[in-house]
Parts: sequence; structure tokens; C-alpha cells
Amino acid sequence: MLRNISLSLTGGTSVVITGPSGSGKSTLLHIIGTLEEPSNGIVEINNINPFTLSEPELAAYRNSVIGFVFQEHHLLPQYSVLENVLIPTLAFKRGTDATERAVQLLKRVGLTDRQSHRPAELSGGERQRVAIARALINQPDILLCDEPTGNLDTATTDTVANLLFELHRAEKTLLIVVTHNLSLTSRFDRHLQLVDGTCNIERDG
Amino acid sequence: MPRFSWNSLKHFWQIHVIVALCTAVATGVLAGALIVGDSVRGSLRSLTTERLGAIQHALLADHFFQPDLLQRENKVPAILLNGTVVAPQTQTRASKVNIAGVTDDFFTFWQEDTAPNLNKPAGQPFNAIVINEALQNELSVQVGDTLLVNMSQAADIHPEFLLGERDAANAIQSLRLVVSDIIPTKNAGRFSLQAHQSLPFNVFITLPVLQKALGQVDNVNAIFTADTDPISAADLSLTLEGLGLRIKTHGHYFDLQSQQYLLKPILSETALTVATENSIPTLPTLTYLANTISANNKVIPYSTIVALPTDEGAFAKLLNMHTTEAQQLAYQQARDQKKEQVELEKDKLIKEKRKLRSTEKDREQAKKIIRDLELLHEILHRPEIILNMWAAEDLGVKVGDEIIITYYSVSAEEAYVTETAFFRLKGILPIEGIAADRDVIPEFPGIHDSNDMSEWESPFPIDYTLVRDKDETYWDEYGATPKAFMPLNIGKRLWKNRFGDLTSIRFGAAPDTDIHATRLHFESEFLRKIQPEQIGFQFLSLQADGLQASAGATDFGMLFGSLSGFIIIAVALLIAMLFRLGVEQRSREIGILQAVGYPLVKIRRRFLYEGATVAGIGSLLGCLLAVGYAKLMIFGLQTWWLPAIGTPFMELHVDPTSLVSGVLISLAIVMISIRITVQQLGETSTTALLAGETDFAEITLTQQAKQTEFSTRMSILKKIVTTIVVVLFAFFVIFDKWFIDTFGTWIVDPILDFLLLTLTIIGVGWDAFGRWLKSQRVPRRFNRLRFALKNAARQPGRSTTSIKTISLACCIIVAVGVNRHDAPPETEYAFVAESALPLHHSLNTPDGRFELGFSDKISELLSKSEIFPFRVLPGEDVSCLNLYQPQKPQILGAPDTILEEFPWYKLKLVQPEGGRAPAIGDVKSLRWILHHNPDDDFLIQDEFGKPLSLELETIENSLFQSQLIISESNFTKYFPSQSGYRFFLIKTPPTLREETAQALEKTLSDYGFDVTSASERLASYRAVENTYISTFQSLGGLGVLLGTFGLALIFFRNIIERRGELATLRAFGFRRQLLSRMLFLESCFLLVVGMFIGIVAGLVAAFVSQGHLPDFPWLSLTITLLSIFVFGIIANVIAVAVALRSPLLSTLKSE
Repeated sequence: MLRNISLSLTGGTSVVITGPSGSGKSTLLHIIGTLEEPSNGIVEINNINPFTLSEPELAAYRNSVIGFVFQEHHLLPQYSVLENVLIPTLAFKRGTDATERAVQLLKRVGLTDRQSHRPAELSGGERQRVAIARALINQPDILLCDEPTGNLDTATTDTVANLLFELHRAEKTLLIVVTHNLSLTSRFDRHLQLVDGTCNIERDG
Repeated sequence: MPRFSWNSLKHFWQIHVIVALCTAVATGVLAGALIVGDSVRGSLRSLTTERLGAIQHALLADHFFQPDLLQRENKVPAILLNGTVVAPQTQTRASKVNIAGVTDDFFTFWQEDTAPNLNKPAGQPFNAIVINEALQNELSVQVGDTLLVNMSQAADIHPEFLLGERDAANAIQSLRLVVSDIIPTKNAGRFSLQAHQSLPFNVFITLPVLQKALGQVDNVNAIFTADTDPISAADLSLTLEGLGLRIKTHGHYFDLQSQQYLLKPILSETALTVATENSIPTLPTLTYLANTISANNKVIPYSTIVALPTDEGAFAKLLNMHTTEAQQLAYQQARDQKKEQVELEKDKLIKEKRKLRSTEKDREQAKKIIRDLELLHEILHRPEIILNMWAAEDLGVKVGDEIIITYYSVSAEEAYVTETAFFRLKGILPIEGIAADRDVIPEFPGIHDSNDMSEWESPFPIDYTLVRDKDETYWDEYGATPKAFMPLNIGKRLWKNRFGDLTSIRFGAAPDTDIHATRLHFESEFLRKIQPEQIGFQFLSLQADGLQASAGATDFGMLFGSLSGFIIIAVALLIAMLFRLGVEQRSREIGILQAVGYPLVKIRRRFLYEGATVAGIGSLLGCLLAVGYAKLMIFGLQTWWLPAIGTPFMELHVDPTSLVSGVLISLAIVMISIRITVQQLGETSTTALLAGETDFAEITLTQQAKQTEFSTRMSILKKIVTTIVVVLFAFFVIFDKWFIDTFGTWIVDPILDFLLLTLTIIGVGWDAFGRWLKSQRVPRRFNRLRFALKNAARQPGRSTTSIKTISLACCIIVAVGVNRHDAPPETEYAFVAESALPLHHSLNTPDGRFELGFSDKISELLSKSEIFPFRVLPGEDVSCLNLYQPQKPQILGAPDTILEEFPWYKLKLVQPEGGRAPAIGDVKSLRWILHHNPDDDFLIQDEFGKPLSLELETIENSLFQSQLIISESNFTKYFPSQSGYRFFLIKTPPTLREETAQALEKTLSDYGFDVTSASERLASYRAVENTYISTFQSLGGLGVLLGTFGLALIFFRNIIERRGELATLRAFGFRRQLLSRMLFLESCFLLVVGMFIGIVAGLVAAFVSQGHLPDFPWLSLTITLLSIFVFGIIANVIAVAVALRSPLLSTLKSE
């Protein structure tokens, strides 16, 4: 699906990927997120090719290096907001308690008073904010967002987008967002456009 | 149905096939269970028609009679007895054998081509006997072998009366016969009057041979007919001879006497009533044999004494004629003199008694004084006696002298006891007139026809050394002419017993008629008044009664229906779940239909049509399964669960009604399940449906946040009601006595108690789980365990359903399982023994044991045991071992010696009025086999055809599940003709048990004495119950396994629906292995919580309702529960593995 794509991205930058449906945006994002292995070519993150790692190592790597925000928020309805944020910390045992950071993140996304609520009790925008907090809980180097505002109205889209940029700057992550929403593209450092699996660099910061 | 639906059926064929298969299983199991019921009933019916052939009705009697008595064509007379058979060659023995004396006609009832060969084998000195295969197997004999058949000797006089024959050698008739034919244990080979599924031991002997052996030529005790008209009293032409009576006319009077020596009370009462009604003068007499008449140290041995009305009629006239005034004065003076002495003595004793204090010694003295006073009272009221001149001269007595009489009575233990009675001589009569009348004395064989007293052949012991020459001379000259006379009331007081109180009634001519006319009139009136039932005849509609009993004590259809209940419930739940999944799968379709304007009713109907079509096809398929399931259950009953039916007699009987009922009920269950699911469709908004939201419960959770004021109020109301119920229930448990007093016993019905407790505990468990699911409390520390467990709240509706299903199933399995008693039952008695022929001597006394033939050594051994003999009224087994519905229970008469022990004292709690007797019955037999409420009296008929109401006291899990028990005194009162003891409870020290059992069986083999371990007897009853429980556990376990399969299916569906979430977790670094582990933990959590609630509810309910934990069948119950757990785990592992097999991450892509 993807052909001749060569990219080099540095931490702290923000990248937006656009393109028509079926152009391979999500596939590219999944490859960067190590969810899919490319049939050809090399991916290196922090000088490591993640696809050479074993399954447990890759999972651990993804857990600590990458954070995801999807179009469908995929919050688990049975857990409270705070618990949802904490879920990625359970994948591997760490000595520290992440609750404090989760509370802080929720404060930063403006959901302090919603900590004990269930996702079903939140609005769409709130849910996506929880998803962003969840993606950042393990302080990832890369934050990948697949149509994060695809299901939101314009007002909420702006709020979520602002929040994304704010947190990206605060956490100094590499932010990669796939979106159809062209109004957002100007706010990113770089803009890549995918057409038929090939990459056109629209703007390079 | 619209094409629309047909396409849907095709499109979603997988789920529909599964629903159809589930319906087929439900129908199969339900209709199959009903067919098992049909098969039990059908098989019992077949057995009834097989054992009775074409026999419709029977006339039976407890005595022998001439067949001509029954004025019917097409009758087949026979003699039916019980006995034992010994095979000398093989050293084997069988007791409880049905001995039938029959003619070839008897076998025509079975329309067999040829009757079995009952001809005397050529060259054999012995007559022929035909046996059935069941007996052949028991005795291991062949045609040509010799058998010894023992049966009770037919006797006119009751063995327990003084003149009755009780000596073992004479009481048992033994016949040596040669096996001429062996017939299969079917048709005539299965003939039995008892409705029981076990195989009978039958022997057939030609009628004349048996009649001759019993001394009953031409007589029988049973007549059968294949006519459909019942035999009734009107068909009987009673004769005096047929009633065992004889009348002898002597000039101007006639005497009525009985072959049984004593006139049965019913006969004498009727005769006297007829006489009174027709103004016929009567002279009732009671003749008894005195061992001695003595006075002045002189003794006259063995004399007859007649008790009769002494102050009226011919006797009074004779006495007056021969009593001088001087004699009258002497009698009066002797009495007065005695009176003065007695009064003086009495005053002295009374004064002495007044001086006594309340010390131990004085109390003893007081008792002695009371006894002496009683003796004085007796002396003061000493009855009168009249001697004949011969006796008076022999004793050298004069009027006013004291006369002492000794005589035998038969004790409760059937030993001869010498009694003494004191009299005052009132008169002396010459041997003339009525004083010389021997006609009032009934003939007694062995005594009457003896030439000399030394040749008397009496059943009671006679000391021939006492007989003097002058006694022989008297015998030669006067025969049995009485030597003494006493008033009738005195004679009755001394000698009246349950067999009667008169030996003869003399009738004179009625006014204005001669004696012949009076006799003829008396006979016809007397016979008209006698009801055949009163004198031991029974009219039985064998075929109809047998078929009615075939309905069975236990409805196996319902039983297997309930035992298979779990399978049915599991299948119904499975169908509901599957159908719901099917509907959920199509929630978008429903949303679209609603969006384009389809009314909800139509959409529901569409799903119902689909459901009905699928269920209809499934239930038709289920009919085939039903027959297979029934066959499997019948196979189970004939093999694994054999104790439930005792004998493998069952055949498949399919009643189409059962199939139709099975189909209709299962269809109803399935359609209700589907209907409930479809009904919930309307509760989801169209938008939600279009968005693909599926789980109704999740939506409920969402909507919970938007609780309306109404729902809040309802919720508060619900809480208040629950609290009140719980408080009331707790109050009831604590203050149950007050509740019983206020509301009656129904409120503490054990079943109600148990149900309330179980439901409460389960309800509390469910409520706690539900609260936990809804709980939004954020824990201080969020860890993997909580993460995995909290997953159960993902779809709370499904999780709650899973928990409820598992807990209910486990609760029922535990609650039923704890009633299983694996441990061998314990009882204080070592043995229960039954004797085919009655024992008339005590096993507890050296004399009794000697009479029964025990050697001194064995007698010594038996003295270490305590043996309680019971009388037996033959009847049907009322325990769970009998599959037929018993109509005439076996009744036992409990001996006085045991009445002090628990629970026997209940038998003498009430002094019953006539027609009532306290009785003991096992509560399970009463409730489940006789289908009788133990609080109500149980009605039976006494020997005279009168109703006898048994006031029931209940015992539980006793050795007496096969019978009802009354006291021996009531038994002999209401069933006087039953003789001897045939049921025994034996207490023996453990070390002597084997030896004692062998000694009893060997020595009493002629009586057919069978000794069974009491513990084994109890175990046999328990085996039935345990088998039902095993069956339930097997079928219930199977149901639960099916249920766990359904739950796994639901879980699988859950995982599929949560793929997006699971993929997200993968994206965040959760390894596949970790996800599997967490999902597995989640499913196990539901299984464990469900099982835990169920097991605790079952155990606590059993504990509280019984006051203690019953003997817990750890092994069987643990195996069942473990199987459920393991199967559940395996099903869940498979569900998780299959669900996670496909790639998850692709679901995350937005494009």
C-alpha cells in the first residue's frame, strides 16, 4: 500500500498526515506505532528497529515509547475515567505508582471532577480527552493520533486539538496526527500528504 | 411468512441451526422424561396383565370353603398359600414362595396352548410340582429333582387358642414333591396377588394333592373368574357349614356350635340377635377345660367346666330342685362368716397402713398392704361354683366350701400359663338333666373320641400321672360330661379371648312353632344377616385394582422431568442467550427498520415468526431425540440406577400424548425465552441501535446516570420492601415457635423453610455482586487483578445472568446432594428377620426355643440377643422399593415389650375408642408412596370389614418404611385371626451377630426364617433415594455442563464485541498472553463467584433447615462440582483462545 516513503522525524515536532481514504494514512501510522510490520524497508526509532524485537520486547517498547489516540476512543466502559487513564501502566509492572501522574494529566485535560465517572457518563469530547490522557500516561516519546477529532463537532474539535498541542509541547513528544480535517494542518510543524501510497511533503518545518 | 424473513433465516443460518438444535434438545429431554413415565406406567401395567392373565375378579378367604359357595359359572377354584421350599439335593432354600394348588383350568387364564405338566412322574413315589424359573434359579434345581414344600397346616382351631395346634411338627405341613416342569417367570409363572415389580417364586401343585395334604378335601380358599362382572356378596350362597358352623337338633332344642370350638364373636352376636328378634329362647354356654378342681387337698384332674346362666332357665330349675334350704343357709353362712373375717382383717390392715410413714421401707410395706387388701376384696367377692355329685363326693366338699380351679391360658408370648381361680361351692347337682348334657360341649378331635383319658391327644401338655382310675371310670361312664358349672359372666371373665366367648348356643322352639320350623327360620335369618366380609371373605377386582396400582406410587414422568429440569432450564437459557445474540447481531437492521417507519410490533412479530419457525423445526427433530433419550434413561434405570426400580422390568412405551405435550411445553418455553428477548427490543432507542449498540444492560448502565424521579422512587420502594422481607424472615428464623403457634405448621414446612432460606442467601449473594458491578469507587491502588475482575462489569447484564445461572444450578446440586447419605446407616438393631410361616413360640425364653427346635447350645447363644416379635397382617410394601401404588399396606403389631422404647411409646399414647388405633408410619412412605398427609388419619379395614382409623405418628428413615405399625393389643383386637409372629427385630452383641444369624436361619429353615442385617435393610431404602439423587446429579450436572457451554458462548461473544478495546490494549503494550490471562481470569471469576454463592446458599440452607450439616457426601458432590468447574474452565479457555485467534489490531484503523 505504501511505496517509496522515506521520512525522518525528530522529537518535539508535530506532524500531520492527510490524504484521501485508502491512501495508507492509518497504515503508515500503524507502522510507525509498530502495530504493523512493513513488508519492505526499515523503521528506526531512537536508533532501534522495533521489528527486530521479540513479541514481549516489542510490547514493552510500544508501552513505554508510543502513545495512541484513536478515532473511536476505545475507553473501557466498566472502568472509571481515572482507571482508564491508568490502564497502560498495567501492561508491565513498574515500581512506581502512576496514579499521581494520572490525576495530574486529568487535571491538565480539565477532567479533575470527572475522575470517578464512567465513560458512558461523558460527552464525546470528554471521552477523547480521557483517551489523550491515557496515551500520555507512560510519558511516551511519540504520540500517534488516528483521526482524533473524526467523531467530534467543530467546537469540540478545536478544544481537543488545542489540548493535543498543549500537551505535545509540555511533554515534548513527537506528535503525529492522521486527519481529514484540513483546517488543523496549518498548526503542525510538518504536513505530509499521502496519495496512492506515496508521500508528498506539503510543508516541511 | 414473508420472503423477507425466509431470507433472514437463511442469512443467519448458523445461529438458527444452534437454536433449532437447542429446541430439539429441550423437546427431547422433556418428551423423553414423559416417555420414561409412560414406560414405567406401561411396564407396570404390562406386568399386571401378565401376572393376572385374564383373571378379572377373585373371591378370597382366610379359611377354607367349598367352591359351590360361589354361585357363578366360569369359576376356577384354587388354594393359595405362602411357604418355603427346600431343595435337599442342592441344599438350597427359598422363602416367601407362593404355593398354588390348581387345576389345568387355572392356566387357561393365560391362553397358553398347553398347561404345564402337573402329572405325577412315572415311576416316582411323589406327586408333581411345577416351579417358575425365578425359583429354579434360586434353588438350582432341574426337572426330576425332589423339593420339600413347607406350609402352614390348615386348622379349624386358631393356633393361639388353648386347643389350637402350635407344635412345630404339627403346625407345619411338609410335602415332598418332584419337579415335573419348569415354566418361565412370565404369564402364569409370574402369577401373584401382590402388586410388586419383583420376580415372585411360584410353585404349582395339583389341587387334589394339596387339598388332601391339608385335610381340606374339596375345599379351597380362592376362586378366580375371567368374567367382567364383579363377584359380590349376592353371588355367595352361605351355608352354616361354609361358615364352619354346625347345628344339632335334639328333640325340642338345637345347638349351634363351631368347628373352631369358640363361636366367632360376630357369629354368636348375630345368632343371639336373631334369637331375640324372633323370641327364640337361648342358652349360651362356654365350656373350658380345667387342669384341676381341688379342695381339701384333694384334686380332680382334667375336667370340663361349663359356664352358663345359672340363675335362670333349666339350670336354675335343676339347681333349685336339688338345693335344700339347709344348703342355701350353709352357703349364706359361709359367705357371711368369711365376710366378718375379711372385714376384721381389712380394718387391721387399714390401721396398719395409717401408721406408715413416707420412708422407703414403709412405702414397700404400704404396697404389700394394698396387695393384701385387694386379695381380701377378691375373697369377699369369691364367685360361686356348682359341682356335680361325683366331683363333690370325690373332693369331700359341702356347700359353702372353697373350691380351687387351675386351668391353662395362652400368654402373650404364646406359652401355656397355669392360672388359678377360687370359688365358693353353691350347690351340688346329680348327673341328670342339663348337668348330664354332653351336647353343649363341642367336640374336640383327639379328646372327644378317645376311649381313655390316657389316650388324649391334646396340643397342651397333660400330666397323665394325675389321672386316677376313678377318672378313667368317669370318662368311660360319662365322657366329657362337665363336673362343674359357673355363671356365664364368670366363665367369660376367665376364658373370654379374641376368638370368642361362647362355645355353644342352645335354641328352644319359638312361641307357637315347633323346633324344626324354628331352626329353619333361624338358619335363613342368620345367614341373611351375615355379611361375607365379616367372616373373612374378600371380593377383589384384581385386574382393575392392579391396573389402578400401575399408575405407580411415583410418577416417573414428573420425576425424570424434574431430574432433567436442569437440562431443560439450561437449554432454555441457552436459547434465550443465543436468540438474544442473534437479535443483537442485527441491532443495526432493527434500527434501520425502525428508522424507515416499521412499527415495533411488526419488527417483534418478524423475529417471533423466525423464532417459531426455527423452534418448530427443532421440536419436531426433538421427537426423535425424545425416544432416544427415553431409551437411554430406561437403560440407565435397568443398569446404573437399578436400585430405583429394583428389578429390570422396563420396556419402552411411547404415548403420543407425551410427545405432543413435550413438543408443546418445550415450544412454549422456547417461545417465552424468545418473546422476552424480542420484547426488550423496544427498550433501545433507534439511534442507539443504528450506532450498533447491543448490550441492553450496558445501555441500562448509561441510562442509570439519567435516573428519573419515578425510577428513584421505585428503587427506594424496592429497598424498603426487601428490608421488610429480610427482617421478617430473620424474625421468623429466630422466633419460629411463635410463628408456628400463630400461623400453624404450614409455615414451618421443611420445604418452605428450605426454599425461603436458599432464596434469601442467593438473593443476598446476587445483590452483593450486582452492587459490586455498579460500584464506581476508585480504589487507592489500581492493579491487574482488579483490572481483570472489573472486566466482569463490562456487560453487567450478561455477567449477572451468568452468576445467577451458575449459582442457582450449584445451589440446587448442593442442596440435593447433601441429602445423599453415602455412609452406611446405623441402627441399634442388628437384624430384621422375616418368617414365611408364623412362629408361635417365643425366641426369648428357653422353653420357647426348645419348642422351636433349638439345641441347648444355640439356645444359650440366642439368650444373648433380645428379639422383638411382631405380628403381621399381609399387605403391600409401602416403601419406595415398591413401584406400584399400594392400596392395602402391610400392618405390623408391635409387641408390648418394645412399647416402652422410643418411638414405640407413641402407640400407646392414646387409649383409642372403637375403630381407632394409634399407628406409626415412616413419613417418607406416607408422603411419597401412599400420598397421604401424615397429619390425617389413615383408613384401613379391619378383619370384619369395618373401617379402622389409624391415628398416625411419624418416624423418619426408619427400618419400617415398608409397613404401618400398631400395638399388638390393637392388632389382635382388629385382626384376631392372624396368628403368630412373622417379623422380628433383633438386638445382638456385634461379636455374636454372624453366628446368631446362621443359627436362626438354619434351625428355623422350615419356617422360611430370613435374617437381614438391619443396616443393609436401611441401606436398601436409602439406595433408592441415593439413586434418585445420583440420577439428579448426573442429569443436573449434564444440564449445568450445557449451561457452562452456553456461558462460554456468551463469553466468546463478549470478547468479539470487545475486540476494539482489546486491540487498544494491545496498542498500549499489552501482550496477547497477558490479555488471554486477564480474560481467562475474568471468566473464571464469574464461574467461581457463581459457584461460591450457590454452594454457600445450598450448604447454609441445609444447615439451618436441618439444624446441623447432614452427613456430607463429599466425594460425589465434590466430583460433580469439580466437573462443572473444570468443564467451565475448559469451555472458557476455548472461548478465549478462539476469540483471540484472529488479528485484533486491524480493528483500530479508522479507514
